[in-house]
Amino acid sequence: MLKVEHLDLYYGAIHALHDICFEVEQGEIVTLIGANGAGKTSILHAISGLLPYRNGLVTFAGCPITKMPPHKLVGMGLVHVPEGRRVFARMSVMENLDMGAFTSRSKEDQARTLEKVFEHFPRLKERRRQAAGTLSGGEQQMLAMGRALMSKPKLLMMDEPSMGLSPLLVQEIFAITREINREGVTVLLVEQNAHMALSIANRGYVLETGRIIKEGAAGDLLRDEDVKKAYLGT
Amino acid sequence: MLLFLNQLINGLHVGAIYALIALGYTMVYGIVRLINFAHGDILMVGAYTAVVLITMLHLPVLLVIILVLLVCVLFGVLIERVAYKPLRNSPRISSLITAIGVSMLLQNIALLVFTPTPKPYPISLSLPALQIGTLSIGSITVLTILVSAALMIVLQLFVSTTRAGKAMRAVSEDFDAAQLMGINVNNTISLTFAIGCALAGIGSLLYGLAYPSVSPTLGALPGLKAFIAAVLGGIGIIPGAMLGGLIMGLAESLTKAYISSQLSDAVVYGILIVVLLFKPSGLLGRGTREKV
Amino acid sequence: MNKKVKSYTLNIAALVLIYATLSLLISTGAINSYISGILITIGIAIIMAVSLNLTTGLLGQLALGHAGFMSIGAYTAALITKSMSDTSFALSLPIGLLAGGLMAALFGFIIGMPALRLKGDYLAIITLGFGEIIRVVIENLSFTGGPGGLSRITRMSRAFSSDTKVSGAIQFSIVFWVMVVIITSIYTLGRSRHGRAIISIRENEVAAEATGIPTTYYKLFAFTVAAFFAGIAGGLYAHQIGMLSAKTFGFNKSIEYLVMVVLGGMGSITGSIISTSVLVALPEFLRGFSEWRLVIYSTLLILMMLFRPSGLMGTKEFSLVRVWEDTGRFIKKTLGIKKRQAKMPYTPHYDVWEDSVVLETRNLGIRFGGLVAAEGINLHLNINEIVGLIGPNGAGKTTVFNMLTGVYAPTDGEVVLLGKTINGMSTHDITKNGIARTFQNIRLFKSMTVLENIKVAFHTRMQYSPVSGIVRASSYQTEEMGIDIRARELLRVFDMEDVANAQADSLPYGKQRKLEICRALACNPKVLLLDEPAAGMNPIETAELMDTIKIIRTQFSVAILLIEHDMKLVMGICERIYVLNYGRVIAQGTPAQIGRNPEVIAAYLGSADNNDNGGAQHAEG
Repeated sequence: MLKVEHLDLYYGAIHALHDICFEVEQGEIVTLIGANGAGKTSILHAISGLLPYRNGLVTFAGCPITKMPPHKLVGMGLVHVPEGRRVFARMSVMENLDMGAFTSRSKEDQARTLEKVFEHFPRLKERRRQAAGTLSGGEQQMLAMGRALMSKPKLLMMDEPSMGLSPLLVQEIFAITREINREGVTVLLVEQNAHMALSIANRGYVLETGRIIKEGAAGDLLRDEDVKKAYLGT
Repeated sequence: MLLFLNQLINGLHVGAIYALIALGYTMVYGIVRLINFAHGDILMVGAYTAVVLITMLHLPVLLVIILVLLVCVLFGVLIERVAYKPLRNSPRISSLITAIGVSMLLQNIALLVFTPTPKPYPISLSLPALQIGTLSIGSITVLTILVSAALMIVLQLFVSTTRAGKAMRAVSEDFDAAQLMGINVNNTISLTFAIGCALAGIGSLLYGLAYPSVSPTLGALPGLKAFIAAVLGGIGIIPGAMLGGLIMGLAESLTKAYISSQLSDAVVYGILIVVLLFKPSGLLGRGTREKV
Repeated sequence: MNKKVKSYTLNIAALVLIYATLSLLISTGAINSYISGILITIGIAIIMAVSLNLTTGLLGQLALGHAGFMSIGAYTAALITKSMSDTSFALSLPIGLLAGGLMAALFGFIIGMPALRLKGDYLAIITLGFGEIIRVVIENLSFTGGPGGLSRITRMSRAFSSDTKVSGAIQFSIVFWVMVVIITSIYTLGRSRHGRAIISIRENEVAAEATGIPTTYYKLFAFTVAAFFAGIAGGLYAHQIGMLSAKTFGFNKSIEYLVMVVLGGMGSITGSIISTSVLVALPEFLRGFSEWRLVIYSTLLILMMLFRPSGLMGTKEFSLVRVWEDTGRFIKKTLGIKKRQAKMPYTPHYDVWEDSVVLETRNLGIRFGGLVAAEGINLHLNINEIVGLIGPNGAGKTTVFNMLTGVYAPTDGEVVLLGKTINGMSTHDITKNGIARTFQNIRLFKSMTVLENIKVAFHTRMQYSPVSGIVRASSYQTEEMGIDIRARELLRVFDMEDVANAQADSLPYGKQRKLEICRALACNPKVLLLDEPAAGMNPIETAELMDTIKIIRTQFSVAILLIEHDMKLVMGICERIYVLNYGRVIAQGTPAQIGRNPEVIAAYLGSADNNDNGGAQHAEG
């Protein structure tokens, strides 16, 4: 569904991503794990067009999307939930969700999707009139995910959804991610919490200083001695 | 009493013009956080456009009004694309200086083309004044107040209910997140400048009717005053711009009438300072305390 | 060192050479009065730009009323020299200049007090407002000459000698050396502890306050000093031109100086000097194209910003280094003042506190409007203890931190630090008294070096005055040397000495967190508050963080309170844990007790089997 080939990205003179190649198949959950600064977020930013990159080919659902501006990707079904939630703080929860459905034209369709989002996140329904900035961190993460779901994505790219959340909420967010995936949304997950990410993912890639150094089935990576030592801390 | 009422009406008239310009200021500031010093000069561009089209090309007034708006919009959008867009990721003060540069450039080109000698504004309105008892309110005054109020309401509805309006608010909060929602940020910003400059275009018509003399620095002072009005009401807030504009207009005209015409600027700035000290984000502004 | 001495000598020589050449050319008439007038204008403009750079570049606050201070200085100086017309001009001029500077400083202080509560564009607009008010008021006062202004002010180019060439050369000398003294003063001030404090406010005001910098004081200080120098420039201007009209000092004039600063590069003094010289001289060169002059000028301005958005020099300086220090040394040498034997390197003072409870809260609570954010909070921390503060998102953990550090004033109860109630104290005073903190989202002084970040934290324990900093007195030398050693020592403890000179934001994430902790420790705290130190860290980085915290425990005598969601870290290193929910403490105890507490599991930890990422099972161990 998503294919990244030979991606090279520079910050000024610094070569931040080296020859990144990976794929995400329809229906999978794929996770990118690695230390801070390994380039996980940069990869997502490059794919969604927020960061310019020097070389590389990105294909989504058979269409080349190399260097396409970010706003065009949403309509194609590629949606990015950025790190740090980035909800529109001064707009209400409902307005935030409306912004998520910005590219969809049909009102009925929107209403149906909204129902579904509220099923996943009943708390958003309770708070739909509240300004997003007044939500707690966990609720903001839910809103960010709900907002992304409003555009009916085919592929959801999630950046550090667990950051700053209580253990209970982390479990909840991952459970919902799995549910969303079961409903047919492919997921590309960037996570610091490698253990959690690998335990819900089908496959994983390990990044180190801008290079992919390992890939494999999530179960295998969980058992891999190097991965255990370097990223699972066991 | 009559004098007081007359001054009040005068103040509302001037204030409505300030408000109209302030609306444009506030929209542009709200979305790109830029004090667009060139905004006032769009007023001047609009006024000279009317001069050229009517006194030189003798076009009909209605057509001229439409063309004035188009030219203002064109200038605004062009200025944004050429001078401000490349600096979007630079320190904000760089775009501020660029805005000052653009303002100087527009004024000096006008100086070069039209010379400093003021030209008469070619459009006038000759309708009977509105009579209420002994009080007579000029038709231009009525028109100005009505037009500004109507535009403010339309604008407020536009921003809070339409798709494009919501896109503007989203962009003003977070560029990247807005893009990830599928919003075309560049077009949204251009649209904002277009609307702001169209308002300035309308402002130039009303200003010209009120003060029918066109010079290259025509926009500078009303521009600055309008900006202060926007800050006074709470910058980025549409009703705030209106409120700020009216307060400025009233303060100015009442000071001129009852205290001293030289001190009117000082009073206006004094009001601004007092308001900001007690309400740092303007009269209608919401407090934004940095979250720790 | 030898190399340094050489470069100072070179700099001084260059300065003297420039001065000698120009004054010779003026006194012989080779440079006519028109050109020398431009040189004087440049010199005055440089003073204005460099002093504005103090507020805009170093302090990072946009001010649009600088010309207002210039006008105050100009009028004050002119009125004084006029009233002292029977005294020698050589006496009345310095008095006038100084009085002008002081008067401008006074106004800077009065205006700055309220205005500096605002930030960014609001500060810009309020300074603009004050600037305009000053202008209008001067225009309407009778003793300032009203709208007509002041005229027949003694002109420097005439006053000193009947020979205009000689007098012109004296005028040039005055402006040149006043300018040199002001530039070097601002330069050395910027590199003293006071300058560091000012820059740290630009970099991150919240962090500066939490590091013990009295931010309000330093903002006002920078603003007042800038106004002082602008006042002197005004005095020079008045006696260059010979007449004053308030209109000259309007908003456009302030903008003109701002343009000079930004174009040169904010924070770069040499940048300001270069851009000012060019911007003053350019219109004169373009005089031939009279009509096109301003069109060209504004086009150049736009192009310049588009292609060099951070100005000519950025924040860099041309290496016209430490002329001041060297002059001082030179003077001392020639006057036979021996350099005092350097005292023992200055050692900052560390408190010793023996009692075991260092921090205690009694029934602490806060309401925002009607909303209760926290209530009935009773915590205590013993020396050398590591205590965790956990709870769901939005439970009020950071609110508690903010109350402890004075960011919020509690509405109920009290905070007792080392036996002393600290409610209602400002953040920097609390830091001084012994509570330091880190932030959820790292707040470093990003463009300062690692070492400077640490040095800012030593500020409260240093004593030398701004003047000692400017003239680089011996107290400056010993204290700076002392904290340099201490700061490096601290970095060594945390294995960061190799990056001492790296820019803070160039560090990898984990090290930035570490630096923030280091900086907090440099404040000499008795209580260290860590707000989600492991956020965004993977397990390996978290393990390193745990090592860092263990180092703190063994090497410093400090109590640590930490907010964290990483249960492995919390359960692994905390001796006690408080659990917060809905603004109240719902449980407290050892990690094992907390891990078993059903209420905590329901509200926070979640089911143990789902939590195989080092959650509850660690609590059991």
